[in-house]
Amino acid sequence: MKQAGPPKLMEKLLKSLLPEESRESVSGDLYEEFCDAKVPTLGPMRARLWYARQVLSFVPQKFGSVLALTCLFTWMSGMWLGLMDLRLRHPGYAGRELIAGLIVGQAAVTLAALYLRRPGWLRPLALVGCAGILWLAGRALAGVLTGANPEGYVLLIALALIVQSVLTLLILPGLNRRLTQRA
Amino acid sequence: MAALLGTFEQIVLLAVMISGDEAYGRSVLRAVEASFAGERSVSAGAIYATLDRMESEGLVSSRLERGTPARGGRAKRFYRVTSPGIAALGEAKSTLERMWRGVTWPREEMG
Repeated sequence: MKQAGPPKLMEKLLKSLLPEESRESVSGDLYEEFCDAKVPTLGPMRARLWYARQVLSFVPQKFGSVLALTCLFTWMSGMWLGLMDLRLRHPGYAGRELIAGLIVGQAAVTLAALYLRRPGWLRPLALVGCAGILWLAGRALAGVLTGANPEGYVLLIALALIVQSVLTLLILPGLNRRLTQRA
Repeated sequence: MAALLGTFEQIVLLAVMISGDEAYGRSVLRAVEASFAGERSVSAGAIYATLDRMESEGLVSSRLERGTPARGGRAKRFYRVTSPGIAALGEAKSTLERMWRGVTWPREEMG
């Protein structure tokens, strides 16, 4: 029986993240670990998840500083937008106050988790909140795309929230930065 | 004087040393994972970023060898700790040992 290799899409992503000179050696190392150790011990499904996690760990290396700046900018914008929404209290949008409050709270938690030296439990809380915002924005986006009267404002907010949540989910684990920093 | 090695750099350098002539990305990753004894997860990205940086600082050197069928024929990069790398490790070790000499461990207030 032919043994399954790592997911093709993830292999392509890995190669696109690596510089030419280390493309073959790094992808070979991960291929070997995936086939020889991870598939037999974890099973194919969890081994694929392991592989995806390893590939994503190369993202901060390639885009780290740009991602962090964009992430900071989008969260600040989201926070500003939420605060303004709360302050202006648009009539007929009672539910939106809750959403705006959630966005402001989540933005504050995420910023604290990103920039405090010892974020502790704020980091997992921000990750969960971020996933929640992503879900909320996804639903809003689907609503706009399938609704009879698409609202440009909601479309814009939903897209912005999706972008900032994805960026934050990529950056927030921050393990690389903390572990590899110099003494 | 060069900057003192960080903890993670020391761990990676030691993993390269422990792996000996067979030190390549995968063996280093496994050695570092073993050193954490399941208490922390370690990502390949962090290992390779550290190895690349230390290579550019002359603390490790690498050579590329032909791949084997087990790795889909892909080339294999072997690492070796250089003399400046050994010196940097020695300096980090003696600095830490000097500092630890002045500390009673475990601390009483820890219970």
